[in-house]
Amino acid sequence: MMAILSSLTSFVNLAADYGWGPYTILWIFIAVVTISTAVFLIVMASSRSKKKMTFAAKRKYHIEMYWCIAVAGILIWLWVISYPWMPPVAFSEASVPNTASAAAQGKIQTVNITAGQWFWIMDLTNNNKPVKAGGESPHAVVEAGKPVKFIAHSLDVNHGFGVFANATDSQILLQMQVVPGVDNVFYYTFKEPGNYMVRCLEYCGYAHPYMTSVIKVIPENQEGGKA
Amino acid sequence: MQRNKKSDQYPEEPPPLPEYDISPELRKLVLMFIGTVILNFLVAGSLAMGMRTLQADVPLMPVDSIPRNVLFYALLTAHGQVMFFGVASMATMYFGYYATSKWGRKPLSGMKWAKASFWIMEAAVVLIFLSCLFAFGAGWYNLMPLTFLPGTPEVAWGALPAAVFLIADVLVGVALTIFCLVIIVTLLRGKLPTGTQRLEKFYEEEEGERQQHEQGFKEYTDHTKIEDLPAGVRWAALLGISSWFTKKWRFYSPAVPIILVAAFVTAVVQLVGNPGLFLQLANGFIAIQNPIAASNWLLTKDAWWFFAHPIVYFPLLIFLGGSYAFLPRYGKAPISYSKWNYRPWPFYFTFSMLVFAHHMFMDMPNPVWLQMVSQTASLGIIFPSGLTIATALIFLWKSNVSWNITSRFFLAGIAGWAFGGFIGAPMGMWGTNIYLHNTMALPGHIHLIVLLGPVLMSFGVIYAIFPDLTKKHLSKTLGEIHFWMTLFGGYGFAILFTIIGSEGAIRREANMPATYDWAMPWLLFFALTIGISQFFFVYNFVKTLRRKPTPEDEAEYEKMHQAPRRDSEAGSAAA
Repeated sequence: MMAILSSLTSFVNLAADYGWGPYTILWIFIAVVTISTAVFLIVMASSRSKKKMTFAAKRKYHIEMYWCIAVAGILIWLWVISYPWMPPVAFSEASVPNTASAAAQGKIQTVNITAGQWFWIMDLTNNNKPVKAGGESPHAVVEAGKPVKFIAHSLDVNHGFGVFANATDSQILLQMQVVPGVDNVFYYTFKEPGNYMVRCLEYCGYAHPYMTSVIKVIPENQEGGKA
Repeated sequence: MQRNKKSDQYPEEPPPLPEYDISPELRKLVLMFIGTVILNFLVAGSLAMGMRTLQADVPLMPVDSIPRNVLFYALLTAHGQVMFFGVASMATMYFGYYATSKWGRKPLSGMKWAKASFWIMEAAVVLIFLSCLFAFGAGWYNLMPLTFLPGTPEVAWGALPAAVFLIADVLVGVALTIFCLVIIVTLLRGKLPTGTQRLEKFYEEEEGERQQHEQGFKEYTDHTKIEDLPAGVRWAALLGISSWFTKKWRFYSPAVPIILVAAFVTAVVQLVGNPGLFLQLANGFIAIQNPIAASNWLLTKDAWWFFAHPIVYFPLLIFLGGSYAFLPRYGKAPISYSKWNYRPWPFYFTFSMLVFAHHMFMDMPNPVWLQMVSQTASLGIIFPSGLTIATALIFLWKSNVSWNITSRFFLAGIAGWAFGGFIGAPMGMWGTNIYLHNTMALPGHIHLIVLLGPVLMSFGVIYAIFPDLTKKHLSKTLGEIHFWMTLFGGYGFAILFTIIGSEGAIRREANMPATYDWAMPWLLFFALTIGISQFFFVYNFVKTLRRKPTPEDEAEYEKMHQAPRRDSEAGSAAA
């Protein structure tokens, strides 16, 4: 029983894993739709069966009760295993061990994001020392393996700060909404060096599709901002 | 089933409705609603076709330019709002009024208000189209303050179209509120059909022999009795709460038809949600003077979704209730229902009001408790949904149901809703929603849940109640074409949306990245398939409406209004 639970937990954790999570979700979706289509068709075909089954006869098996218990059990299990992936847990200060000391030792990279129609300005500060001056370039350069604290503000409307898995349009790696008038904070640690495309994910006006930028991730312990 | 080729109908099709005659006034109103829903569906569908044509870069259309984008977003905004309010909500309203009167076996309380809700809602739809003509394109959920900050006013919309759009949404809120009140008042006042709990010897038919079942007795209920209920009992019955009572108490609790439970839950949930719309609009009207003023846009957004998530369940719940009314009628014998058919409804009532906040999972400043409640409710809504699907399938298993147009539309609607739920579940969890939020998977989910859910069921209802409204049957051949083409086109683009969304395609992109170029012509093809199929339906509808009733139509109508069919349109909480 524990082995089954463990393997199921690993399966859903794969769906929530960074990078290839969306494809896993897609495959789960396709599998479930295929199976349920088959169930619907079988039920449809059964209704033509010459041997009719009365409703009372079906009630003998208490299928609904067992079904309820199974569905409720799965939902509770999903809730419990998804807890570590909740943004306030996985992508907040709580996700960085020893946040205060990490910040003091310069292990947290802070990127201030300013979003507006239709641009991104990303200013990187590392241990309170600006590495790249604001407005110098819309690109940000951060190190892999170190937590990045994104603090986003909007100058006008709602935007969506979305980072993709590589330099072109591909899978979404992370995202948060940039709501005007409030601090929007998100923590993330890039694992691999490379260029990561940034796009606005919340419709913000007719030039919304062009609101893009890039985050360059360099290997750990390499001086940031020189790339 | 043998088809009567001459009349293009199924003459042996069982009468679909209880014996109660709705008033001619309501009959006319329902027909007006249906005609208007069809018209709105055609126009809003054409807007969608325009969007897909732009995305597919058809040479006739302007390519990659600012006016092109402005046009795309204006189409997108009007399409979304009209589909939700002018189609799904108006379909809910016509069926809500019809079902409450028909299965409640009494006239509506406030017929004039019901008529007013029709005109107010349609006026709102006209204003939405008007704002589209002036290029208003803030998106169907109108995320403020974009309403007042379009970017460059000289090429986008100005304050006037924004104000017209906001007024339209005020009218939407008013119409929905009137509808909810009419349903609630009708069901809370006067008598209701109730089930009489009985014990009867329990037999099964096996190989032509009637054998007593080993358990000896079964409990069942019919709804031939009409009685006044005390307030507490009435609320417990109308919310489905009594189905969770112990067996002894269930025995003493009258059960009302499930479709009335569905109508009541729909109306109460939406009535609670409507203030969210008014709060959002009030904030908008205040901000129209000074968009950068210190308005709380996070609260405004939360308020909108408090209204807008129930609006998704608004059509869904009433038509799910309809499936309990219509599917058994196409069985060859009366079929008992059980307490399990009522048991999902208190959960629908609770969770559909709480589920809204999963729309703001990515709003990091929202309090954690709200996020946790919304994740719980998002997963929680799966529980009643799963139970409803299970009871429907158990009911259909070896049931000898006739698969006519209505029952097939209902089954397809339940399937579409289930498939939409499968992709909705990961959107209801934080960890997986991060990959899906604001991608094309979301339109995939919405089109599965709404277009392939209640909208399909609504078509099924139209085919079933049309004879009751007009004494004439719609053509079956044209109905078959309508059914298969809508199904093919609908599933085609909803599944395609979901696939490219899961790959990372962002929604609301006037210019889709080249990665997804392959999908655009297919989306246009599937959208066209749905669009063309609706013309068969419109032709069928108008042609039948204009022709005189045949003798077969009249005979069928008479048959429909004869002896009541015990126990077939509603169930028992006690079985």
